[in-house]
Amino acid sequence: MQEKKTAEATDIAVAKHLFERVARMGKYDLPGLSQWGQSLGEFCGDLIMSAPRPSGGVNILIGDFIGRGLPAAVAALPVAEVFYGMTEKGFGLSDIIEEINKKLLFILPEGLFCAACLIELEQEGKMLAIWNGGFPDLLVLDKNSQIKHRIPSSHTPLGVNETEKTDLDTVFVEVEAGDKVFCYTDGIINSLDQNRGIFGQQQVEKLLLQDAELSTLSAAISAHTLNAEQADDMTLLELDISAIQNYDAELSGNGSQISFPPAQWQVDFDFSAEVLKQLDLVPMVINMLMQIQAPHEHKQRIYTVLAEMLSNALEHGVLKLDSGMKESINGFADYYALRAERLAELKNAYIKISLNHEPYEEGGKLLIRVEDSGEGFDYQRQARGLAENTDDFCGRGHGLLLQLCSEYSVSGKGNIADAAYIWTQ
Amino acid sequence: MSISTSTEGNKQTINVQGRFDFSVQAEFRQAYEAVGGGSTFIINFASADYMDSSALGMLLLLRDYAGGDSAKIELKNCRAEIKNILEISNFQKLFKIN
Repeated sequence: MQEKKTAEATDIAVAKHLFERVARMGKYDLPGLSQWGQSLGEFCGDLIMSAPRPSGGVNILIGDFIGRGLPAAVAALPVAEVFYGMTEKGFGLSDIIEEINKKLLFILPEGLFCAACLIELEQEGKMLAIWNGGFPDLLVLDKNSQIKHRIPSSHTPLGVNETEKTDLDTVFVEVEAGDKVFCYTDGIINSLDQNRGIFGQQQVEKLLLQDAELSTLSAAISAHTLNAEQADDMTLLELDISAIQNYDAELSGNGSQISFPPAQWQVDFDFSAEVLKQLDLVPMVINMLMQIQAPHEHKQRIYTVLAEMLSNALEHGVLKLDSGMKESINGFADYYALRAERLAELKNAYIKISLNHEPYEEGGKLLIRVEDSGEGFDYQRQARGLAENTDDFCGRGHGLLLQLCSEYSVSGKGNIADAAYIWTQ
Repeated sequence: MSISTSTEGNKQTINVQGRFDFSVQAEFRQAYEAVGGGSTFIINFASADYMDSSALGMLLLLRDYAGGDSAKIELKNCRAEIKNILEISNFQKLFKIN
């Protein structure tokens, strides 16, 4: 009997450890994010997660499972998996919300769902995207403790309805250094004192207007709930925009991707028709490139260069599509329908990508060569046409390449493109 | 899903998330065709990570839809790099860019 009890206690301790690692602590310690909470039992039904976005900025999720204890803790695991996995891969809030909703809808029993507030702080920390589904009003206060933005719940919680388009809309608000964001579960508002009196939304806001500090509010709630039995878990979150802006600047500024000085290296790819059909090459190549060596602040420009070169090779070279089609609304859609059609039937084709990097002055020089199996085109004629028609908005991709790259040329029968991109730290 | 909208009176806001390229062309078109061409369009780039020339093409088609030279379109919250790409193509002559 005693042994069985000890074994159970160990199980609970391990489960509790797992849950706390996954749902409470966050995979990353985000400066500027402070939290306070009290739970009723061994397991808390509230969760807070945060993770940096690969293109800069951070994603934050605060959740409150209706129903608490072990079931809530178990359901938190897939939420964490989706949140961290998709944030890391660069997905935006609405994709993440859609996926979590889908997952919870599938796994949760009737009557159990998750109120949630998701916050995306954009790169440079100037803009917040917020999705509030079933949480009390999220408040943004300025440095004088005045309410700058109030974002009430405008969605049903996660795990209730099939996702419809409108359910995913986020609210965008501008923030600046000195601002603070406060988000709290309804357990805070409904927390009870010894006479069963609730704390209330008004009291929360009154305190924040006097002093926008997490510690002030948590001390007041602790005093209010002293010796009183509670009905719900309580979680309170504060986001200090200045601290996150500094952290974000540090992450992108010191170029977390560059771990060694600009070096000489080369990578070659040879993609067959089978691969071209199934893989989206640009994100794959750019991720790899960023992992080897490339400065964060050039990522978007390098992405555009690669995207232009690869879509030229695929669409005009391999699939023989005519970009003239794209000049009208219907033509544009037809063009991409035809692209999908020809790609699906593609056989015996290739695109070769060669990336060659070398140190250059203060940074590096990236040489990109893209060769396709297509028949090429009369590029000398096209060059003459472009020179005569400088104000034309046709051939936009070509214009981008000429401007973004220090060198860009076409050779062979028109099926080989070479670009040089120079970057400095 | 990378395109979301909010309609406020005569103003249609289109939020672009992640990659703004041909993969969202149908969604983007639906987003502006949901309202009349005489509306004011705000394209919010706050969550846009990348764009390429097909996105530029999509913006030009929106401009046609919204009445060409009399179109009321604002490209909002553009990051430095996105702005750079828009300016390379002289889009500041065609759109209000913030």
